[in-house]
Amino acid sequence: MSEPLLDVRELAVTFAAEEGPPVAAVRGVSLTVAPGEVVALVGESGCGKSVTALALTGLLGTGAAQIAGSARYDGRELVGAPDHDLRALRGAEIAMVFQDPLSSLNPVVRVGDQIAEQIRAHGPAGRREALERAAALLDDVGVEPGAERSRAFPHELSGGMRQRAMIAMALSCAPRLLIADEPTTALDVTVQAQVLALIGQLRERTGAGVLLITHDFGVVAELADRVAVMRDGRIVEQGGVEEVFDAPADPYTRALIDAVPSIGGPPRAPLADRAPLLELERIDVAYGARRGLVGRRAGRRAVDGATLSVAAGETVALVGESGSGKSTLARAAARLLVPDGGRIAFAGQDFTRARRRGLAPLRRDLQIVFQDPYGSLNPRRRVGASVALALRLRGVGRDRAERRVGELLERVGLEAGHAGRWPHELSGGQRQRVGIARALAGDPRLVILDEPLSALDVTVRGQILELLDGLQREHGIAYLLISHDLAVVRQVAHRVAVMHGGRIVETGSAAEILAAPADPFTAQLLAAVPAAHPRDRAAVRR
Amino acid sequence: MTRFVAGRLVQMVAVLFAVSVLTFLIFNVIPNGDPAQRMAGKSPTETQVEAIRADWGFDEPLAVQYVRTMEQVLGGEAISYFTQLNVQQEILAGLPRTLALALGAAILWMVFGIALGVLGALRAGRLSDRLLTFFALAGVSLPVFWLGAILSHFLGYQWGLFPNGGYVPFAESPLDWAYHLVLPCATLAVLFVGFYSRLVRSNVLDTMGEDFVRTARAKGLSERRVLLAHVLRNSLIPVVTLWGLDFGAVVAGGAILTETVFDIQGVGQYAAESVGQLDVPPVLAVTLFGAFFIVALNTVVDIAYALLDPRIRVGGR
Repeated sequence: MSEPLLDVRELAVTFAAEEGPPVAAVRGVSLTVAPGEVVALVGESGCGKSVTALALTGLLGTGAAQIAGSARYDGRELVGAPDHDLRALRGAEIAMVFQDPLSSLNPVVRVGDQIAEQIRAHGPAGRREALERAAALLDDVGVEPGAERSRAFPHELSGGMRQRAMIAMALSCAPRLLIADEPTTALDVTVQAQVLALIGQLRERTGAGVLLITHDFGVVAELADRVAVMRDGRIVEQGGVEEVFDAPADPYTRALIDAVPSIGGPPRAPLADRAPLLELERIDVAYGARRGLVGRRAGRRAVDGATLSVAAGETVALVGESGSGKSTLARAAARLLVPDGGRIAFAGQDFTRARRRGLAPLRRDLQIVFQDPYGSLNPRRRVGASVALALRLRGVGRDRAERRVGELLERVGLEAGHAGRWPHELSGGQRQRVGIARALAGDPRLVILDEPLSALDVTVRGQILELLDGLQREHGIAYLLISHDLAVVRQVAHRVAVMHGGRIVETGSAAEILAAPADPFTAQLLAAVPAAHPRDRAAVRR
Repeated sequence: MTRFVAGRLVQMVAVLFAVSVLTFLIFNVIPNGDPAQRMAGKSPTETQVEAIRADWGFDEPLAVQYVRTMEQVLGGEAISYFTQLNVQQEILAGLPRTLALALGAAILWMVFGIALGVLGALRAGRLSDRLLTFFALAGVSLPVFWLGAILSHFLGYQWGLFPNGGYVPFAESPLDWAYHLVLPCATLAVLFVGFYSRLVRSNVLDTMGEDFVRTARAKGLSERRVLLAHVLRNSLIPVVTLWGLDFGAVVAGGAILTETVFDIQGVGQYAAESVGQLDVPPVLAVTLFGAFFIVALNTVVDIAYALLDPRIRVGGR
């Protein structure tokens, strides 16, 4: 093995706390990255992996953080180096790619200018020359045509394009070390596959070392040569990727690997014929359409003639990339919006144009659990009060509501005592449980789950899936699960509907769709699911 | 864009109509508002008052009076009831004075607001930041008539550093013009500096926590460049638009106190005097002028917002 490019030894980061003793976020991390090597630093949120990366490059800011230990880049010590020296390395030798490309790019500066700025910060280059190089870089990473795209603002690019642009920026000064902090977490699976492939190609072509920070063992299996698993600021296990997958030494590593939903294993069999509970017939929804004084303006079709049904006690997965119209269709199903065409029926009753009181039965029997458990609970309301409100809205008296809140929280695996907590005092998984408890308050017959897992840590995902499964068996609740993650879908869905460009391109039993997709788009989605084991890599990648 | 501006024009006509009707009605219902009574001078005979009333048409129905007054105002032919001078010419005479005062003050408060705000943000929590906060609060709390009088008394009258009020036209002597404007502009600006520096401070602090600022640092840019090209560029967008609105409001009457304290003889002072005399034509004309200015600047600000922030589209929903 060649000389390490990055050699981190006993790195420790401590934050001064406003009250109480300082918090140790990183406690003695040692790892190395060789040229041309991809080392994955894996762990769940809060384990200290991002702090490690920021500490290496001096981006933690002065004051709050105490950094100890050693980190040598190409023989030069980074810990305690003057800011001026670190700045010269940043961008030029050590480049970074962050999680959310939308928030990580300056919204009011053209993409090309943002890349050119970095080129000019690290070498003599005229504005025009730098812009030309920026355009060429964009071409390189597949944001084509680069000359034109470089004039775009970040919001004018798709999520995948934006992350590619971030990567182009990172590569602009030919760095020898790339630190990628959750580079695909904010992306769709198909886009994730493309971005991972891109990072892989770059490593081959430029021979740069890559420190890949992720919480997802699927991403690790796809790309990493070596793995370091991090928990509570410490590295619990480190080794070659195959070794770690085949024989994880630490139980925590085992748990993380097991949490990767496997694309293998039998899908659920479809339920025997049942009467449909929710029926959506040829639903059309257009955004931006308006009827003015001078004729009508057609809007963008978000949903285009979608037909779907969910039976009692059944789980139907609605699958597709972001922007495919699945959330819009779900909003129409819950009658949060009025469709422009088609028919919505629930338990045999037509709700397509129902208003106010007419909607009451639907509002009671159909509930939604949202993706982001942080954003969907009122931060100024205690958890119990949020759940109680859902009960009170259904006419339950104050005293009974309070008693029921305890029951509901217990039903979703929390304790009655959690009712007095504020949302910010709960973990992501606990918050999502509260969201589910709130949805259960009115004894719904159908719950729409809009990406209920994607904001959660991998080990928590399994627990929530189990909870949902238990509730279905016990109470016969039907689920309409919206997801872009086919592996999760395979675990829970009886039937699957694939959505693309506002249309439902394929519907069928989970077994049929996942084993023999008829639509090319479905096949593409399936191919994009990360490998469960590094040895499956080649089979999945083109 | 054209559609947006056209929409705003329609809106403007509606606003001006509503404002003019309200103003007209208010001055016709307040007690002691009969203009004929007051135009006739001290202890007039009933015949004199009647003659004036018939002469000026004060005996006609309100609607007719309104329409006639509006015709005169819009046609530039309105005559003050008391000075008998043409209202439009009076406003035009006062306008350069008011604009000079407002623009000077607006530049002062913007420059100092940004400078002090950024300084406060960079030193957030330290002693200098707390002092800035204290002075900002003090500036916002000082009444213009008090501050103006104090400055004028000490710096002007007592120590003779600045002229004690008054205005010199630019054409007469540019130097004297600027010299006379220093105190009034500073007085008017103090109120806004406090407010703007707080706003800039909190915007800059918010922006410094944004992911793209971390990206800018990760690119190896100098702190100076990070601050200028990334932090300020984003945090000043709302400040610039607010500045446009405040400038409009100051021109449209927000400088009345300052103009009066320093005897600038601008539009605001003219309005204040006319209101004191219940002189309907100038009040109506100045009110319409102010409303027009505010709506127009609102439109300009909305367009500027879209130019500064590419995510916003003019007239978009």
